[in-house]
Amino acid sequence: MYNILFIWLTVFTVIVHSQSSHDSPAITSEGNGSYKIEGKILIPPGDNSLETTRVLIDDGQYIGIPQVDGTFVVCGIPSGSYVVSVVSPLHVFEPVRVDINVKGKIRARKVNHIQPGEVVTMKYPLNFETHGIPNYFQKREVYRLTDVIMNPMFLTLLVPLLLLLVLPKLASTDPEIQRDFQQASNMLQPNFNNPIPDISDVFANFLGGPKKSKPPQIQGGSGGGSSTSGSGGAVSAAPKRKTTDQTKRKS
Amino acid sequence: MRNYSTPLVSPWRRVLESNALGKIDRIIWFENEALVVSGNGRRVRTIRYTEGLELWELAPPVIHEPKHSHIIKNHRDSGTIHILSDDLLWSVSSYGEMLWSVELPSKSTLKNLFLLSTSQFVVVISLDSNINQLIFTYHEKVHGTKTSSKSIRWSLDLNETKKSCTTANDIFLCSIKNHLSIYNSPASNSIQSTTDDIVPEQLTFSDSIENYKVIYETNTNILVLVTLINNDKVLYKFFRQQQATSSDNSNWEYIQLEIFTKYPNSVYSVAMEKGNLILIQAYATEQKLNFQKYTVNERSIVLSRTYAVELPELMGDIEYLQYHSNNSPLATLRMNDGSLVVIKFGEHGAELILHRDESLSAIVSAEAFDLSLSIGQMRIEEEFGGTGMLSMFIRRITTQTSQLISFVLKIVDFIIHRHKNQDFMEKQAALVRDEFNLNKILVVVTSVGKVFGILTQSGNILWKQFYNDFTPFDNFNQPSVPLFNIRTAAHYTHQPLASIYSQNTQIKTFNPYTGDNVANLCTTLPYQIRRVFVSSQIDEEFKKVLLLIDKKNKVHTFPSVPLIRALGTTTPTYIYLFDKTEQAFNGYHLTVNDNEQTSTDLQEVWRVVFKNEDVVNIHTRLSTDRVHSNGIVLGDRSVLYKYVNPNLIAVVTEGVDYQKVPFVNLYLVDTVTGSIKLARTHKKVKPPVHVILAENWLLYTYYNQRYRRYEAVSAALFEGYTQYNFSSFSSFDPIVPMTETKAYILPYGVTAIQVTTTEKGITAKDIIMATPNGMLIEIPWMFIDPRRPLDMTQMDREEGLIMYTPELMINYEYVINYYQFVYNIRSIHTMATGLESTSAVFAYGLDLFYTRVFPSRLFDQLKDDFDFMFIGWATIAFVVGSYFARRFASNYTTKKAWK
Repeated sequence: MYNILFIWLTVFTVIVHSQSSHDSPAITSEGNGSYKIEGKILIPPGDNSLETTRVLIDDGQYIGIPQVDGTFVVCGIPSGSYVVSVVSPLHVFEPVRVDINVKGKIRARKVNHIQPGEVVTMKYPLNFETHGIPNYFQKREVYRLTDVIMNPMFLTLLVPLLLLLVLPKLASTDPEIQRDFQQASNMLQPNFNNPIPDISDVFANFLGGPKKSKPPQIQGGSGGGSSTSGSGGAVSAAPKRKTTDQTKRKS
Repeated sequence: MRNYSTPLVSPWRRVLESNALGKIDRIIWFENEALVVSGNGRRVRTIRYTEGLELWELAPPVIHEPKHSHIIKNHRDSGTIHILSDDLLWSVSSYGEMLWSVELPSKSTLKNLFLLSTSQFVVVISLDSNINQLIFTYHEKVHGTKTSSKSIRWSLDLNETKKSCTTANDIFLCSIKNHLSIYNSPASNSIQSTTDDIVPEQLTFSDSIENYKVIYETNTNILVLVTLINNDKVLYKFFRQQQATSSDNSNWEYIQLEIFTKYPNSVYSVAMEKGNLILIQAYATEQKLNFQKYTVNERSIVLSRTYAVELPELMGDIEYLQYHSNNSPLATLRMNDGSLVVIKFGEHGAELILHRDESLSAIVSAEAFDLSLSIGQMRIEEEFGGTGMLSMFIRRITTQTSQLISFVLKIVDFIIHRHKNQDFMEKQAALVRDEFNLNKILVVVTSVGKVFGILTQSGNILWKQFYNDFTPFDNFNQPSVPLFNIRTAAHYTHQPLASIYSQNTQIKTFNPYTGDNVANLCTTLPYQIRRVFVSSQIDEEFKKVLLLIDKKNKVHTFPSVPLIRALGTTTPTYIYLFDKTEQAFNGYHLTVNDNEQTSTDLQEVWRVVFKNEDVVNIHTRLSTDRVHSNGIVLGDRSVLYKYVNPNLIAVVTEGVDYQKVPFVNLYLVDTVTGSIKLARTHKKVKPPVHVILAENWLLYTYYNQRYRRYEAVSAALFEGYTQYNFSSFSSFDPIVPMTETKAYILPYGVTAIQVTTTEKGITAKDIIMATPNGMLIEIPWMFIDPRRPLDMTQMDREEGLIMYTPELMINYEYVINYYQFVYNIRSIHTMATGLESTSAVFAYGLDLFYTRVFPSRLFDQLKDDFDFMFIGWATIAFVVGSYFARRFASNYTTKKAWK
């Protein structure tokens, strides 16, 4: 009815060392016999995490329960190759591969998933030593002043600020450069001030609003000069004099 | 399972293997430890009561996969346990010594069925179905050597024998029609004797025997309760003549005790209490448990007291009862709905002291429902609408004033009452959708037919509903119950609805917030359901329409609406079905001729048949799967377009090739055209294969037997650098997808796997993997990306790919359940929340676990420890500072001007 197009593609890209593709010769895949795997879990004394510790053989094909002293026995295992891992939420243990041959000879070696054939023998009966508490948590970020200072944003702000402060001081000694600088700042000044309102101006207007709006009122001759704003005072001085003149003339 | 609402604190817990080896056959309770026989007599271990650690464990010297076992405790020597496990008989002592083991002759027609123990012998009772004989083989108790055997003619077949016979102490009982035969058998001889001295005593009843049960057995007493077809109950008390102390010649005598009340489903338990033999009869009526306490005397039985306990909910009949009377009399019951109930009997009557819903460890499907909007939120929804400009304006003004009024009232109420009804308010608040829609209601269906509504924020059970006669569908040997969200909470004038379907043609519809049944939507269908689909269309009451396909391949709708309404008119509808007997997928096109038609036949358009391989599972994309972007931007700013085909399914097959090598195949099948878009084969691979299909990629895991490791393969499909049709996708477009594949080695095994889901699919997708060692691991998609390069180029670096390494390094930081290990997880359900960064994860199996994950970190939310005070003070400081700076600046300029 319908043509089915089978797309058979290369199956695998896992890189495996060519040497390692041979299984251990003594081990057959079809297990027989009944053997036991023994070992001891070593945890620091006074730690009762043994109650939540399990021994998993081949990821739960067989499960062992530790005894009071930390030893464990898992019975009824046919010959074959197994990964024995001790699992506890509170401790990290390294898994061990255990090979049992048809005659019941047992050897333990390091687990190597990349080269399963590689043999680095380990002690049997197994000894599981804790590698410490598993680190489940990421370290919480703490607020530190150095972080703020070393922040690139902060640095980009800081450098021009420094330049602004330092450059005029340097320039003030030489009158020629001072003139140039004045010119440059004059060129810059109108662009800075007029079209874009200064943010500090805006805030000052917003917060200190009534005080800034006083000068025009003073011009109308309604009140006394403000002492705080120096420029305002200077402007208001002239009209005041004028008014006094007028009164004198009238009189 | 952990149920937070019940006050049971288990001092320890031991989870055995999830395979056949971990299945407990019998537990024998000793003073300080329990002896556990598991795996059909394959292993014996003792566990101490105090901390749950092991004392010793033993296994027989021969390994096989037993099908049948019988375990007895030697009555003459209570420290010896005899185990019959198919063709193996072995004995252990209670202090951990293997006494002996004997391999029994193995023959295909010979089945060893029962064990009984006498003072000197262990007797194996086996059935030879070839010559129709029941054989009693005597094994010497101390060494296990076979001494003699006897046989009798037997008329029952294997299953009947298994069902109708049992042993008690040293007698063998068998019921045939209306007779109960008692083989007081092995009593007689240690002498080598010939056959036919096994003559049964027969008890004859007025009616056929429904069943019988040995409810009590000691060395001197046995109680057997016989239930007849007409529900008559007869109790037999067997007692041994005391004069012959230890010899086998003591025969059992029996008396018939009074017939009790006729309750069809009553259960019994017997215990010694203050020197008296107490028999408890229990039965459930509606929502009530009734107990009758009898004292069994030498030759009579006397009713001493009755008790009744009200149950908090409907639990069905009693499945199991055990009466204990050590310190205070207690009864432990298992109910039909999987509940564990403990009843305490006191002077003033009985009371329920413990109730646990153990059925929560048998969840078959789960679905999350958004909580309903609060009244305020609903009013906002109400604001919009109307037709004319004026009416719209008036509507907005009125709703906004009412919102204002309710807000003021709320504040007034809060000021006046304060803490008075805080509890109530909190309870109400738990049921209202939160700001980011993080909290939900999980509706879970268990295999026994009990449905639960669970609040995700606390794990508390909000409601329960037990459907007594509910059988789940069988989905590749796994029970499954289709659960659909029929109407969401968005249509707030109508209550939200959810429906579940059972194999026995039942539909139950309920409100997912209360569990209340909606009577007019709970029916029994006149046809057998084969598959259920949910249609995208809704009916007049905003209910989603379901398409049901019956066993005759006819399509029906539920609720019954014309098919034309249930199907979208713009796109044609295709449906696929899998035929298990033929191992074939059939694709059908759905056509509707008539406008008022409510059911139609299916028209086959394609067929894919698998030969020499069995389909073991079918995986589909999650219905919540969202694809945000159609392509991937590469390092050189060109776009690689994804092949996003919503019609794909992943099919896993298993088989053995001509060289007897087992293989697993995986196919991606387009369900509209029946074409296969991807095929992969793996030899020497052990199932289970766990599959995720999402967006344009596929991930599956299996066990590689050759290298003895778990592997994961990820594959992604791409259209290429150009897109065939940028506006819509059609399966008929002639696109041949390109594939990228990589395989990875996993450090642990896998029991379940799932991908995170978010609302819009912008956030990266992570893989949630449950492992047999109890961890739930969140693996970033980046690590299993099939485009990870073998050698990095500048372009790959620009794109942010990581170099390929075969081994997936799993960091403990990826473990999302921290110290709370969960075991035997069968499935993981992920759901989107209102926040794009957040995906909720619900893992279920033996244990339940719920959490939230952030695959791309919390990019749309402030951190928990965000310092509001700091930001606040900094802002104020800046404002004040700028004000003073302004003043100082003006002072400065004035001074300068005066100079």
